[in-house]
Amino acid sequence: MSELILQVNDLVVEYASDGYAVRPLDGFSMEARAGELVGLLGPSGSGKTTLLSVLSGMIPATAGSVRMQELDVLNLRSSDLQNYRRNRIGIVFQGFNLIPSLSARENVAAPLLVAGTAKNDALRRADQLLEEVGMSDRGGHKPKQLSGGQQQRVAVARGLVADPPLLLADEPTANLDLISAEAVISLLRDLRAAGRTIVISTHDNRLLPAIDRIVEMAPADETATTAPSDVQIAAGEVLFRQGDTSDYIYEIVDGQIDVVRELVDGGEEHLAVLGTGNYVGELGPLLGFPRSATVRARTGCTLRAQTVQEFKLQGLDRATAT
Amino acid sequence: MLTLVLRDLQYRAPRVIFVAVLMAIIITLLFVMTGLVNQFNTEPELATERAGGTLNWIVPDSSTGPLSSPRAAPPGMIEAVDGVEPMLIGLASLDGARATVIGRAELGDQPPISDGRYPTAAGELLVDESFGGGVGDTVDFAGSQATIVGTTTDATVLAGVPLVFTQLDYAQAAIANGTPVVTAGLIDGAPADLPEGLRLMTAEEVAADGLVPLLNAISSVDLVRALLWLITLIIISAVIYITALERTRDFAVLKAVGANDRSLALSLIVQGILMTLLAVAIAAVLQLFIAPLFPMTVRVPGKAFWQIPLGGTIVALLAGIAGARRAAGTPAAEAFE
Repeated sequence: MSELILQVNDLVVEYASDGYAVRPLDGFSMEARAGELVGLLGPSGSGKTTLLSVLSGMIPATAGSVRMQELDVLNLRSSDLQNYRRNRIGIVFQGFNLIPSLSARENVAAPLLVAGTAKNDALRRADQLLEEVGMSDRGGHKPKQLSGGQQQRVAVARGLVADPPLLLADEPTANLDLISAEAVISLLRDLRAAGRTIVISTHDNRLLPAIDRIVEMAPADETATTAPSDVQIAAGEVLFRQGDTSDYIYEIVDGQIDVVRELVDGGEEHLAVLGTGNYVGELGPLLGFPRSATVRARTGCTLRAQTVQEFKLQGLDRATAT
Repeated sequence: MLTLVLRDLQYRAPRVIFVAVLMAIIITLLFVMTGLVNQFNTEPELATERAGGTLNWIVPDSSTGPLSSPRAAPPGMIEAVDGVEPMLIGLASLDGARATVIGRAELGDQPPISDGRYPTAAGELLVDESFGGGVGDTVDFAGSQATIVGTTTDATVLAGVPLVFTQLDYAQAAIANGTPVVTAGLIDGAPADLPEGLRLMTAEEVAADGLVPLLNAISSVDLVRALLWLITLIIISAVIYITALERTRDFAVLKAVGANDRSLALSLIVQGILMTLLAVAIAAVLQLFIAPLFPMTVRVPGKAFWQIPLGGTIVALLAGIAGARRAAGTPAAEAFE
C-alpha cells in the first residue's frame, strides 16, 4: 500500500454566523495516499470548501486532527504554516484566482517570488510547469487574454510550482465548458499518474471516473426508500441536532416539540413550539442542507418520519384533495 | 515581491499617472513655497551684504536696524565717528514704484555689478535687476530724472522691494531736500568711542533685523506648506486604501500560496512610496516653469531636492499604514470564496 499522505480524524469546525453556531464539519474523517485522486462529493453547504480551507491551514478547526505526512497541520505555528503552504501543498481555486496584473508565467511563479526565490529561477520553473500543462505558448498572456480552461491550467501549474506532495483543488471544473473541463480532468489524471496526491471537491459527475477514492460529505440516506414509520420520543429527548445531516421530514402525530437554535456562547434561542399536525425538519432534506436547528420533545411525542419523496407525494395528495 | 508591486502599478497605470500628476501639482507648489520661504530667509542677509558687505553698522538708538527702520541721526553725529562712512537709507519712488535708496559716500566695491558701472555723479543710479531697467535707461527718481548706469542682483528688501544705490550727496538732494541727513554709517571693526544716541550693529544683526517684518509671511507660507503635505498624505492614503480594497482577492491568494502579512503590507507601502517619488520627479521639473511666474524671486534651495522626496517617502509611509493593515488582515480563506 502506498504512503499515507493525509489523514483527517474526527474533524469538527464550528463558527458563528449571525450569532448562531454553525458546524459544517462534525466528526469528519478521511485519508489520502500517495498517487491517489480523492474526490470530496456533496452538495453546497456540505463542508467541502471548509475542509479544503482547514487542510490548507487557512481556518482553524474546533476539534480533531489533520496530519500531512509527519506534520500536525492544526498545531503549526504561523511561520511553519507559511512554509507548509509554500512547500507541502498546492491549491487550485474554483474561480482560478489568477492575479490580473501578472502574466501567466508570473502567476505561476508568484508562490516562489513571495517566498524570496530569485526572479529568473522562479520564471524558469514557471516555464517548466507551463510546458507540463500545455500552456508554454501562453506564458506572456494576461489572465483576461486566456479562456477559462487555460486559466485553470495556469492555476494548476501555479499549484504545482513548489512541487508539493499534495494538491488541493476546489471545484476545478465548475466554471468550465465541456472541452475545457476535459482538458483539466485529463491534466489531473496525468498528475495523479505521476505519483501526486490530489484532493478535489466537486459535484461534477464528469470527474467521477477519474477519482480513486470518493468521500461523501453528505452521506446518502440509506433509508430513503423505506415506508413512513412512527418515532416515539420522551419529553426532553432530542429528535435531531443543529448541524446533523438532514434525512427525514417529521409530522407530529401527537404531543409538542420545541425548535431551538444553538448559539455560539453555548446557549439556545427558542424559535417555536409545534404541535399535532405540524411538520418539522422539511427544509434540510428538501434543499440538501444540514439541520439548521435542534428539535427536542416538549412532551412525550409521536412523530411520523417520511422521506422527501413521500413528503412530496403526500403534498400532491393534499393538493388534489382540496 | 518587487515584481508584483511593479506589475500592479503597470496594471493600474492610468490611475497611477492621474494620481501622480495630481500629487505632482501639489508638490510643485511645495517646491515653490519652499523657494519663497528660502527667498524670505536669505533676502535680508543678501541685501545687508549688498548694502555694506561684512562691515559693522552704526545706527541711531531709535532705529531697530538701518534697512527695516531708517532714522535720521542728529546732524553730524555719525560723521564725527572715526573711520565711519556715512549713509542715507530711505524710501523713494522709482518710475512710480517703491524702492529703497542706499546713498553711500563711497561706492566702489559693493554691491557686485552685473552690468554697467558704479554711480560717480549726481543723477546716476545702480539698481537691482528685479526693477527691470537696463543700463542707460532714464527713470523718474523721487520726482527728477536719473540714469541707470549699473545693475546688481539679489539686492531687495521686504520681499522684493529693489535697492537703488547712488552717491550720498545725490541721495540727500533727491530724497531729503538737500539736507545732509545721515541714517547709518559703515565701519570696519568697532569705533574707539561711540557717542551716546548711537549703537553698533554687526552685519548679522542687521540681517536678522531685516527678517523681522517677514516673519509673519514666513509663518503663513509654512502653514500653507504643512497643509499641502496634509493634502498629499490624504490623497496617497485614499489611493492606497482603495487599492487595498480592490486587491483583497489578490492578497488572499498570495497569502494562500505562502506570502506573509508583513511582505503584503510592505508591498502596498512601497507602491505608495513609488507613486509619491514619481510625483516628486514630475514636480521637480514642473517647478522650473511655475516659479518664474511669481512676482518675486523664488529660489528653490538645493536641499529641497532631497528634503521633499524624503518628506514624500515619510508621508507615503504614514499614508500606507491603513491600507497595509487592511492587506495584512485579509484572511487567506477568502481565496476560496
